Amino acid sequence: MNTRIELGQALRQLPLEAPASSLWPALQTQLPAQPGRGLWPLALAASAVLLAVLLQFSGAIRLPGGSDPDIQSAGADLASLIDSSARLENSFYALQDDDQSSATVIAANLGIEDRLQAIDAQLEVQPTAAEARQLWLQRIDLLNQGVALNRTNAAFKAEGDNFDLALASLN
Amino acid sequence: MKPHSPFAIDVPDSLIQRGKRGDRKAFEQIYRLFERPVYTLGLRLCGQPSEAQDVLQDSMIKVMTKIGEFKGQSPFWGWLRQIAVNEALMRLRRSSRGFLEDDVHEADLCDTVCLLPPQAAEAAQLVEALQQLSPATRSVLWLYHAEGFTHEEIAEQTGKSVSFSKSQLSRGTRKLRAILEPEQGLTP
Repeated sequence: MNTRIELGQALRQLPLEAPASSLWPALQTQLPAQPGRGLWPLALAASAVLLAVLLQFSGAIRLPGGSDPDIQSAGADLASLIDSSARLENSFYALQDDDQSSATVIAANLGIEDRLQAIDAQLEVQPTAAEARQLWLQRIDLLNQGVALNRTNAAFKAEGDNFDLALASLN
Repeated sequence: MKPHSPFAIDVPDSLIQRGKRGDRKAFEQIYRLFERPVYTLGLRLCGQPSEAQDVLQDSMIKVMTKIGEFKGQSPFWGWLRQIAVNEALMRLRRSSRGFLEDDVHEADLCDTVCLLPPQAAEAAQLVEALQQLSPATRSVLWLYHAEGFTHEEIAEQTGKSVSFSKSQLSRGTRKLRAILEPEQGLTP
């Protein structure tokens, strides 16, 4: 069959090209100094909505003050909390796939990163042991939510489903 | 109906606002969102991967240093795309291969539908055929068909006339036909 193809359609169907390697490492060295972290109300709101809906999807999300025996037990010392936080943080960043994520998921991840930075800022001002423990628990909880968000997003992608559409259908 | 540009990505306002405050993570997200559309545009217009990388780098630096000037009256992607188009066209104009061709007027064949032989569906063949066009012809073809610019907009951006844009579009289509279907193609 000798079906002819419309030129515009043929051009638009060409796959997008990518540079051999990311230019970001070189680019960020050319940026002006960061004037400081801003507030995060919009991204935070997006992540809060997304995470609230996610509760309906996954039992993996732990709520603040939740029931993880490893973390919530009275015997959990600061070192183990920091260790848990580090492991979760690795997973959180490893699971993010911005090339495959919608703007909604990216915004939610940004909101989580902002909240992590806010916690880190509080940890840097030498809180009491009790305050530090509470902050590390918050950090772990937040990272758990981030991991769940990106795992769920990846699971939808793997199935060929649209995570945003699934979220929208719940609204 | 205008074609769907690969740049047409909705960017959350929160991300733009963070970029305006100089947040590097926000810039990184913007870079990742638009890396491929900008690189592809640079490659299609300029022709060489090294030039496309330069277009990508210079466009992104401009986006990051001028993001404060974005007023939000049009979509962010359109603002970013215009920066990338300007960068690519500026490179072409500076090079010896730029818009130097004569303003040859050809029959206005392609304002409606331009049909190519089935070989055009093969991405590799079509890309190879595009590479055989002059940068000016290829740029007009790409801006018109893939990005949806009008002849008037292309003329304004290239500093040429509307008839130049129409002429290049017509010439490019005829050449692509000839390359992809040489036994039946028209003389370029």
